[in-house]
Amino acid sequence: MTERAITVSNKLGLHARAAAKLVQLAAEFDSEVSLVRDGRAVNAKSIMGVMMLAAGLGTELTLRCHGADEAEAIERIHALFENKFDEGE
Amino acid sequence: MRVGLLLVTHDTLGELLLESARVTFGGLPLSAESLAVARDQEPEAALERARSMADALDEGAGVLILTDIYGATPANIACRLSGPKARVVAGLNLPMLLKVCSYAGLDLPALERKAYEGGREGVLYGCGPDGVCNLNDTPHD
Repeated sequence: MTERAITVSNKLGLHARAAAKLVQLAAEFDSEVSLVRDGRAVNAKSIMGVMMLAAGLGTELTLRCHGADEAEAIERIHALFENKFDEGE
Repeated sequence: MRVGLLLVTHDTLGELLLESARVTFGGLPLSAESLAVARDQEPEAALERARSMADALDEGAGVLILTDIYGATPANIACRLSGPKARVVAGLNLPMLLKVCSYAGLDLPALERKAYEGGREGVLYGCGPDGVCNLNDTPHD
């Protein structure tokens, strides 16, 4: 299992469109992918799970990947957060 | 081959929800249409329209029909189409629709369950007076 601390850095946070991008990317991997906020883990392949995080700008999350392709999964998903979901701000 | 999706709603509610889903996902991952049932519309005519839309949407994997309020005319029309190749879920909301879109590759019975779960998951007591969101199913006071 690989874990990485992530801070939500886009202005709108994990809103619906960002959550959809995240879920679509997570679904590309065989690994289990979850996001943890304040000890509560949700399945990052489930849009309602991600939405329920209600993670706004500045929220600290833990990205957790477990499976054969976990290394690539964690890099690509982290990059999506770092690129602010291609929203520019 | 994917399940087709038909929304049968009061007026243009379904169309607006579909547009929101389209924007959220950058396009829809399954074939989808919405039927707006107007107050002054003849139910039999709306039923025939719904039937032909459902037939056109069924590429072989069946059609999931989502409708807003159980017992109302749009839902009654939807239920008349219900059968082995058409499943109906009532209580349509945006969480239900987004969940269906995100599991668009599932078969009809599995997608029907996702619709039901998504709709229920989306109904929450929101943020309380303290500004803290309460994600369990108890009211704030």
